[in-house]
Amino acid sequence: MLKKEVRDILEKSRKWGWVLEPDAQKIFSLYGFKTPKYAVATQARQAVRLARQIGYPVVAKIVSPAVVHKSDVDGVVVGIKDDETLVRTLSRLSNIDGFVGMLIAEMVKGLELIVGAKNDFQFGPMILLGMGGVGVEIYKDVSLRMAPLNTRDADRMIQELTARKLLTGYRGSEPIHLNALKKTLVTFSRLMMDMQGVVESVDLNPVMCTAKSCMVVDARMMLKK
Amino acid sequence: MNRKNAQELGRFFNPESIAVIGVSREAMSFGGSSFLHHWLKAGYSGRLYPINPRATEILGLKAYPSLRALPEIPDLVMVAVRADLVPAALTECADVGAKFVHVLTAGFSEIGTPEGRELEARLAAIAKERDLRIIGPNCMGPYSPSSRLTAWGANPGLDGRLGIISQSGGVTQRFTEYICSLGVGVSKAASIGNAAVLDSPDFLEFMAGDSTIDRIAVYLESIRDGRRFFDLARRVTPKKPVILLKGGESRRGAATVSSHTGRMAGDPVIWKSVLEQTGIVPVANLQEWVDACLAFSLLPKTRGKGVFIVGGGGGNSVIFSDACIRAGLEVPSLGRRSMDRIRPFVPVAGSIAGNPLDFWGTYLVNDFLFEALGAAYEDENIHMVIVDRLIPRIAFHSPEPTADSFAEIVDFIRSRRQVKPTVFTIDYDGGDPDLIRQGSDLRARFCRAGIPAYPSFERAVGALARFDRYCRRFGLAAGRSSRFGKEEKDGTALV
Repeated sequence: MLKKEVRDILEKSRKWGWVLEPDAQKIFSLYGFKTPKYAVATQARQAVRLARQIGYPVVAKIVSPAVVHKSDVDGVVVGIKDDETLVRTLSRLSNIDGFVGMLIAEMVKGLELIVGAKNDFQFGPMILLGMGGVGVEIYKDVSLRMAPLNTRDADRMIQELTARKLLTGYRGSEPIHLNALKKTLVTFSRLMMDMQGVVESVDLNPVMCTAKSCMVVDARMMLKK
Repeated sequence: MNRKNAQELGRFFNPESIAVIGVSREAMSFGGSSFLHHWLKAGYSGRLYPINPRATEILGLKAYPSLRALPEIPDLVMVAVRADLVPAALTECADVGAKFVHVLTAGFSEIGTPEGRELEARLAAIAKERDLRIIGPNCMGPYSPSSRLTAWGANPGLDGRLGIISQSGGVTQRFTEYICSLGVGVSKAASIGNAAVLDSPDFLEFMAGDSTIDRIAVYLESIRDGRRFFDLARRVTPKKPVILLKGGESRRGAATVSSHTGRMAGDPVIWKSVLEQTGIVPVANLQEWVDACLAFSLLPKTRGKGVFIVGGGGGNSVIFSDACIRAGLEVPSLGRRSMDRIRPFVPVAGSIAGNPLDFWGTYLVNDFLFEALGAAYEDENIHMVIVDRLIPRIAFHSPEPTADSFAEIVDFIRSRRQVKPTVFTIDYDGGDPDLIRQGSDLRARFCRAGIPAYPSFERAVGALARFDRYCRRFGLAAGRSSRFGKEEKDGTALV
């Protein structure tokens, strides 16, 4: 059974068919996923105050029901270090179609992974794990499993990635927290089972993994028509 | 479908009486009359009732005008009338209380027209409303050698411990012929076609609970309730290996699926991951399917992937080793004690004592072969053995083997076969009909004696690699080796 706050978010999102990023972040933090510190601003002074609270550098992203693919409209600016750049960014983003706010979030570093889910017509929710960045587009280095996952499934998914060495530490780089990643996958798969009636697909891209944690940095959640 | 309901599907495979609606009076043609003909020929011992309002006798059997006129309620009704007449036939089944129905007729959703889909929906609706168990439409239905229910597939076939679930009668026909001819018998096969009512998960659940079935071979193109199949398969595979041939992987293949059984084939990447997740053994073609079933049916469990290769010829040894490594198996060095046993009888020049064992003497003299096998069975580096066997050729430069060494080899292996999986390869590919005949004879004799033999080294390796993978995953969970290492009931009789 979904939490009431989640049901409310999904209900409100029906009119445009997908869940706005701040709402998606809310859902994931409600279910115990780690997310970066974030806030939404519409005014310059408010934006500056929030960004200082979060702490520079920050990332700014467009929030608009009309913009599913933010980068297509230059709707994401990373590495903002000062008030001036932040205000300039806000004034540009506020001209984008359907602007309802600018999401300001803490900059997170780590190994970029993708975690996704899609409802298959024969098998229901399928969970995807893949290398992020160019990994997913060029190498298509992904593994799939049917939800719900157990820890063994999550482990096998990681082992199936060609680039698994990058996760377990390669040439002196620190290994990521594998148990945190497995827990993220397992919890995500259960959430997808709970939402399969309403949600068509979800992309957590990227999930940033470090030696300490795995964090959902961006979430796109498409609803069933 | 709960467990109790699943087990009632057994009635399809051992009916005491069968009525056939749709039997022509004319000479044998495909459909009701050809099925009756084959059941009679196979020696089916139950009661057969041809239904035809314009005939009194068909194929020597008394014909009846309708189901109502029968002296009993038939256990199974086969419907072979034109598609548009099927709904009326089903209603008649329900009216007389016949519950198990096989619809042979084609011309439903698979023809891709609204009428076809509509007719199939009606069939499903009647089944639901009147509580009928229906296999089909558009399929060959149930098959079981122990009941002599072998109107299609290998006839009379061979009773055994394999269960088959298939969306294609044609594929299964060939499959049963292949494996039965190689001594692997079938308990029950279900050709389910469009599967409008009973689908593959229903038969998987049934076969999971059927104590006469140890292993399950599946041919699927699509599945309606993938999630149920998945949940079932996950529970079944640790106890009974499920070996699956999935059709419709390519775009062209997937397009053919929709006109074959009226369904969508699904994303191959998703299928692959689902199979991996459930522990199902995937195969890509009929040969791999047969090869894997031989290994899974006849071999004791393996405890590792170290292969001992017994053969001859330097080049062969190299190629065979490559094939093992490519498939993810290993070709480890023999232990010191094995080497001490083998070295004395392997000439230094022209042969190589080791793994692979390159020594022509193993082809010609059984004692050499047995000494090598004996050493391997006690060697902890070795977990499986592949013996290359040649058909006598002039190139041997040695006298024709006078005594038939086959029986002795079989005795030797059988007395030790619970030790380590041992298979033979007999390469008889090529154009010489004599060599082909000799080779395929020898291969069949080995298989029927309970020792898997393959027509090429690569095929042996493919089967062993799948077998090893399964054993590694479920070795502990599956417990005793007898669970799927059981001998075929009839296999030994054919030696």
